[in-house]
Amino acid sequence: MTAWIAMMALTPVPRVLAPAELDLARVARHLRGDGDAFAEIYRAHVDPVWRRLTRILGPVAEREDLTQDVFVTLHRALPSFRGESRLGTWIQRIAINTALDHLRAAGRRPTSPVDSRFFDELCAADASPEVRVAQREELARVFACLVRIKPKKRIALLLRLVDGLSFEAIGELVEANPEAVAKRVQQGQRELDALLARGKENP
Amino acid sequence: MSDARTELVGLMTVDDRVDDVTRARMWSRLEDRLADPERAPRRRGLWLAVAGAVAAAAIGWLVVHRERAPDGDVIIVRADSTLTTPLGPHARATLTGPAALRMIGVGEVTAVELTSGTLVAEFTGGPGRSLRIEAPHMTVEVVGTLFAIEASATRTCVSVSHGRVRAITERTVVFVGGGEHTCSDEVVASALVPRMREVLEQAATPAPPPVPSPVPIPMPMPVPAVPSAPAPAPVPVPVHVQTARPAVVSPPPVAVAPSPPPEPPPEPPPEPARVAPIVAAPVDPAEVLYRIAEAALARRDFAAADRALAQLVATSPSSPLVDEALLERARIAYARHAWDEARHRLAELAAITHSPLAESGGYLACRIAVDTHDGDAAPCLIAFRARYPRSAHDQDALATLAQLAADCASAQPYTTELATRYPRSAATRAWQAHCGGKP
Repeated sequence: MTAWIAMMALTPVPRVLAPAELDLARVARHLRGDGDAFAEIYRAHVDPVWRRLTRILGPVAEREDLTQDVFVTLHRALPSFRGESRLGTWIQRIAINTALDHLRAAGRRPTSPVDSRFFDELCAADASPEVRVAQREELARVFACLVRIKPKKRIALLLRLVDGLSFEAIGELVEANPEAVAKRVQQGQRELDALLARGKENP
Repeated sequence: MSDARTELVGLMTVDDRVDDVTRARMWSRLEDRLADPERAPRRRGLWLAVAGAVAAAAIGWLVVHRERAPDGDVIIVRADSTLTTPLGPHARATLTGPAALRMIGVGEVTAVELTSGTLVAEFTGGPGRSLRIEAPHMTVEVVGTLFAIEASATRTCVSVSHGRVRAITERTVVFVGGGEHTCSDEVVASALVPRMREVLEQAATPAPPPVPSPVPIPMPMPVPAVPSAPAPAPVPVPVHVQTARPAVVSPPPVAVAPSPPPEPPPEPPPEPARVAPIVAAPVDPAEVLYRIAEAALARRDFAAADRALAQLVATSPSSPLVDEALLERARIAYARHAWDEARHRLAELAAITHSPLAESGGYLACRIAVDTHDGDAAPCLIAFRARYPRSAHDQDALATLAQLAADCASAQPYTTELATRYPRSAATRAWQAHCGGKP
């Protein structure tokens, strides 16, 4: 059933399960000038792109613009797609590079904060108002610590921590060797722990 | 530290599923960007935007001086020209020509007459404020929403993307909710046609960034009767009014015609009709709460929107806005996967007899069943299709029924109907590709 739904590319399920052949056929149709093929590619891959951007950037408002940026980049780059890797992996790389560029640029300008409703969603529903406020503040503090980690380390760390990917898989996505990825994850982890500990000492 | 890591994982995954509306909105904007391959990258776009803003400010300065002229001025915009103008103290509009707009009254209650053309406006809602647009055969009162009007000499239609407008014709008053439309020769609202849905999606303005802290919205309850009562913080509400022809995106030179206009428009405005004096209507508490909720939704503060809508339902149970509030609350709950809560709201909505939103509510109930892998999903969709055979959701319902089938053979009744009714749809092509060319 899951494969059926994924193949249809119409409901919000992981599109990475979509058959690679279907993607190749869509790309071929797009390059032949079929105006609907890119819409199908979008529908098949927008959910994983959104998920990837969210898991790197957090639930910030810029995700909508950045998701569009990913597909604009893809549209420009599709003529150079040679099918050496799966289209899904290729799009994920574009998404990660887009997120990386955004994080680098964000270091030079203020970013939009996380929507407070997401903090609310993570707080215990049956907790007292005081406890919920404390939980919200803690979540905001943890996110603030994450923001201070350098973009490449942050991305490697989150791919490992949130998605549980192997160093090899992360390396394929960020186009780095597994040793370099392991180093980034380790350093990111250490920095995050230090920032969190420092925050606890000096709240 | 492990707690902090758990919290971090929770935060980075709390909203990692994109909802249908966001997905469609992103595609709509993406299509615009792809249709214009020469469009500059974002940073260059910023400079263009700044330049555009300066130009708009200059135009606005001109128009502000015109707006101080007595009421009844006619603003004429030539073909393929645009003009930015305030519509009273709480609205700002861009007119795309050929267009003719007459200011009827300016103030807390602003009224304009749009004879022809395209008007894109931003309306700052608040207690005692309203915007009324008079078009041929129909008057539209803005509650705070995104909508389009198509006007011709014989018929005017209004389509609503989200929120609600009050459409007043010679025969009746129709409340038109999100995803619906009605015309001057109809007495009820029906499902939005796909073409207008597309137009409205393209007209939707990007949502502003979320507010940094959850500041509770002041609830002006009970609402004082005097219009000068303290208003909640004004929040821009996008309004899109469209007549006759689709919006022109080009930024050509602007034409502001003095009275009398130096060049007559293609369809000169008729003699100004006698218009009833503008009287501030008594403030409806439900409407105020609905506006607050609309404003909160516009800035993506869903918790505040839900609070305002809950208060609306609790304090004005007989208001015509109750069904809209219940549906919005169900959508909010659906977006955060609070399935039981969404089902509860929909059950409340279903209890309202003859609600024009029953169709939207019914489809949302089926979507919840699909998303929760409920065994009733297929029967729900079958019942929905039987009840609303001409629904705008029909194609999606059909495709979802096909997906719920176990294989090509089981899906065949649906895929065959899909191919017959929607031969050019992406779903049809996907099924044809999957099942060897025969759906």
